[in-house]
Amino acid sequence: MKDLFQLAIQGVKQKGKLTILMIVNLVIGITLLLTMSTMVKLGGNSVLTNKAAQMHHFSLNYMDSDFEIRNQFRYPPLTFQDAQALKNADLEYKHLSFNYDTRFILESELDNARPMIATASASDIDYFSVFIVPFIYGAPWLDTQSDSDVIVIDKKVNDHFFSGENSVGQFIKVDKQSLKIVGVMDLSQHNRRISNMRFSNRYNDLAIVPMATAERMNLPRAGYMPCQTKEETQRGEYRQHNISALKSAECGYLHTWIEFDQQNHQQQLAAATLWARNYTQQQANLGRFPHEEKYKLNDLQLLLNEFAQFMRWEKVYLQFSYLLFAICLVNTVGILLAKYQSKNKLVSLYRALGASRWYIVKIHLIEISLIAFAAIIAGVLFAHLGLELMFQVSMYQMDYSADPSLVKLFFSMDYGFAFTSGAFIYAAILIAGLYPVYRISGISPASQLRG
Amino acid sequence: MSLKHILKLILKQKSISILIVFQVAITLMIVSNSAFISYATLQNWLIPSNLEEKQILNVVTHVYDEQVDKGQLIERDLAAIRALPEVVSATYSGEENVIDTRRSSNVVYSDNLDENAKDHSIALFGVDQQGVGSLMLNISSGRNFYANEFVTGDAETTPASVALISDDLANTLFEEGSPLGQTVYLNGSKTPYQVVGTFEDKMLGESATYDQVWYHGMVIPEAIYGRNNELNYIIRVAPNTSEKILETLETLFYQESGRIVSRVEFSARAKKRLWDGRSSFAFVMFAISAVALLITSLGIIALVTFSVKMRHKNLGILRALGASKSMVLKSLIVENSLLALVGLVLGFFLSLWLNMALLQTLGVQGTPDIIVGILVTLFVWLLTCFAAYLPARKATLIAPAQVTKAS
Amino acid sequence: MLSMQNISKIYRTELIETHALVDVNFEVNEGDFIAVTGPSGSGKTTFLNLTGLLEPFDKGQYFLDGQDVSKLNDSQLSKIRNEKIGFIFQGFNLISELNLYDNIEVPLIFRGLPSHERKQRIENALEMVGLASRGKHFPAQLSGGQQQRVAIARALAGQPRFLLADEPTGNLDTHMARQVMDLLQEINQQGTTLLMVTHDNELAQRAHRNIQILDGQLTDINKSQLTDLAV
Repeated sequence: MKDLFQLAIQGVKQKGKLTILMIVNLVIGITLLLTMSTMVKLGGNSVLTNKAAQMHHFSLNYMDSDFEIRNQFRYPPLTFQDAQALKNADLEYKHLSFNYDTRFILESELDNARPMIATASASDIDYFSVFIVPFIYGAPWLDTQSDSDVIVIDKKVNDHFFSGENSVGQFIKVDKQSLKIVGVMDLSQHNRRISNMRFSNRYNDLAIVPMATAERMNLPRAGYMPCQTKEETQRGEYRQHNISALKSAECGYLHTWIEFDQQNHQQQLAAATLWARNYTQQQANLGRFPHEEKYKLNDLQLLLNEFAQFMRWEKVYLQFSYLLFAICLVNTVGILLAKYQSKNKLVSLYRALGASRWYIVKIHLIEISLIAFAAIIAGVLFAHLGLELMFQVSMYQMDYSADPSLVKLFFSMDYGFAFTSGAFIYAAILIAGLYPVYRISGISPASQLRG
Repeated sequence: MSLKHILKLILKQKSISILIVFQVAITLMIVSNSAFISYATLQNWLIPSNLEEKQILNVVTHVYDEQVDKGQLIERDLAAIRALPEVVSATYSGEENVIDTRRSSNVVYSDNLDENAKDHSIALFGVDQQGVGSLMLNISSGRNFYANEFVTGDAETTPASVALISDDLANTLFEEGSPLGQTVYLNGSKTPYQVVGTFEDKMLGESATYDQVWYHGMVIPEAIYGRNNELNYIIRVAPNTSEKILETLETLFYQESGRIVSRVEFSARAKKRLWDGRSSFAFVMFAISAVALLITSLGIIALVTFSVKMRHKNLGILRALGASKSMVLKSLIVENSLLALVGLVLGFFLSLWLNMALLQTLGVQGTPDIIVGILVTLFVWLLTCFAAYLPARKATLIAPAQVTKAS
Repeated sequence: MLSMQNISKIYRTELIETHALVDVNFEVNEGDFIAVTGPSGSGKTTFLNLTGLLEPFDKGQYFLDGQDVSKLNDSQLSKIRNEKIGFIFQGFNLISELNLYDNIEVPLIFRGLPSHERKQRIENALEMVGLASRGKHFPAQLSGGQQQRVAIARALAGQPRFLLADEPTGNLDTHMARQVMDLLQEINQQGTTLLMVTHDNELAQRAHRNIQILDGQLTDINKSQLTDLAV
């Protein structure tokens, strides 16, 4: 084995310029490919991937019959009436969480920091379990506090108002009203804001307020809130002011996430779907739910996959990368053929001296492997640079208005992915090398040795 | 060497020839589209805005305390702003900010009776007495507003009755005729305003630029607040004012409680945002093009090297028969150029295809430009010649002496 | 016509110096038919390369038609090779992708002759070697002897000062070899100077003058000494 290695390394060193050409060629192609493919892969990542199949967005479609559902993300949130019905339904599940997208001004009690505009959610305790929200201080509010003046803030808010100290028990003003902080969460690893079905990668929740409290304070409904045509004109009212009327309107504003147990997932999903069918049918008899598609329980995995479709620009870049890498491989074949052209005599001599054809093949496969290995390592290193460049371009594109630590999540090297990709690239290079190796191993002994 | 011989060689080395042709074609496809997009982006950047980007600032603030009297707050704000040494003038801004549409796009009609009248996208500015000065507008015909034509107040206020429009908008609406005295109708409610003057064209609107009507603008003497929580200003500062003014203004605004500052920025920043998406795409395509050019160059070096090696003996024969080194070099370059030419022709069609595909899937407009196309094609062709030159030079070193060795 | 004086050629590697030719003096007159013999490794090939301007020499002088070739650059040397020397190789060295007509045309194109003149010369040359009707054929379609005859035609078409042949019959069977020998002899009888390196006894016998190269030294020999040749 050692002798094989020695011979292989000799082969690498010989015709040094061609070897360097081959490595440079491969490194360029690999760097581009790794950079773009990592970006696309990260775009589909989520901390919720493990349970994405069991988490469903529960939608009951009260919209007009001619309302066009443009894509999987536009299935409407529940109306208040339907949310109540669902809450009271006798269904089995692990968690059920309602939320609505809101926005308010955070101010410090002590007036020692500037106010902050907060994108936030009005939700329930289940929110924290469903979305796997880690806490650095405190915990979610208790069941008994569901209507109390309490709030959970994010680390960024905590840093801004309390310099990162434990602020549990202290107060913060939300639209001028004081709420008590019960916990500080850290959403920095949550690369997308999923709870409101927007999947935004620019911001995440800065605070969570209990639903009842939010209603009492009339925190505005800032998210997707479609109404049936007859109520369209009232929508502005419902957003900002008239919460009581909203509760009886055919306007959905409560995004609903239901998580089933892993073991009984299928049965629980079936039961929930059945309930949705029966309920909407029954309501249809009362004149509601005119739409053909009356309910939809999309799971998060499907939504994440769907969202990947929207990464059109990155997909285009990736396709170019594949194309250019293919050209690299073809050029690799050319370089190997050129290299081996000069080796005919040497190989012929080896064969005359007793080396079998398989031995020759082994030497050359090892030689190619060494080169491929070097190129892949270099490619992974340079891909760091590539990702950093793409990160800068991305921040530029968003006019630096997005949260950089959040955006960075989409441009950080994923070593697991790099390893798997590296394996595929290695295989591709070996396959590309098969033809040249086949040719050179076919040199008959002494055929090149005359004169 | 004769052209016929070169062509036969190309056909004999089919695989190498095909590979070179394809690489060149694909590279041209990518590089030319990248060039078109960059050129289009550059053209956008180069549109004369006539805007004093570093002298006009946008301010966006939100009042969240319902108790605050907006009217009085505005007065206090303006007094404080105008007291700053760097500030030349400042106006309350009730409609759009400079290249920053706050709510929705605005349109104007020349006819309020025709249901199907064409709507024209405009940049709309509702300002107070210092508005025209803060926007640094030059009146080109008619007159500026009279002091008594300005209205101010909450959402119930009666609109103003007069307006200033840009020369370009005047041309579009009224063609050769004088716009002075004519009436324009604003938005869905078709609110009428009489044109009393026009101003020199300036790129002022965000959505107006999306619709490619760079200079459509309208100014009305209305300082109306209370339609929403926003309290916006447009400020003119002295030339060469440093960025510190942004911080100064922000601090000034925070001295009033119940209000949060969303944005204080030079209009230059707003203008930059217009082309962010396309610029970013151009950057990335540029990088990908560079990679494509590199790979193809390396590829040609490799393939020509291989080709020369295969023809080692034949090249020796030609040398023996009297071909000089420069003849050998020339014929190799010619051979490569012919292949590159075929590749470029193929690449031309691929470029057009890609251009359409990018437009359809991404909505990216990189209209092919003939001159840019020709320059790019020449560049790629020259690069392939250079790449072939390196191994071709080595080929000239093939000794004629080897022909006498036994075959 | 051709005059070499005190020619020496040394091959140097890192460790070894090989003296391929030492102090060689040699002259050729118009119409000569000279055969050069000698054992393998004696320097025959080097001598051939030097004569044909395929390789440079280290010491001495080489005059061709009164011109000192040692000071010429690559372009000039290539021109002389093209115009004054007609090569005939053991392995024929025809270009496989070109037909016979095109093969013969190659050196004529280098010279820049107009196409009608090229055509005339090629047709004459093919006629002379007895392959007049086969201009469109490819080398792969011909026998060894025929290929060599095409090579001879190629050499002749250029109307060189002398033909330089390297084992012209080395790759041919007896029958074809004899045909080629007859052809070469006839060409020489018509006035073309012929300088040939060969192992073939019979061919050497047909030459007017015999030269032997041994250990880098060149000497004239008698035909009677030819029987000692290594085959």
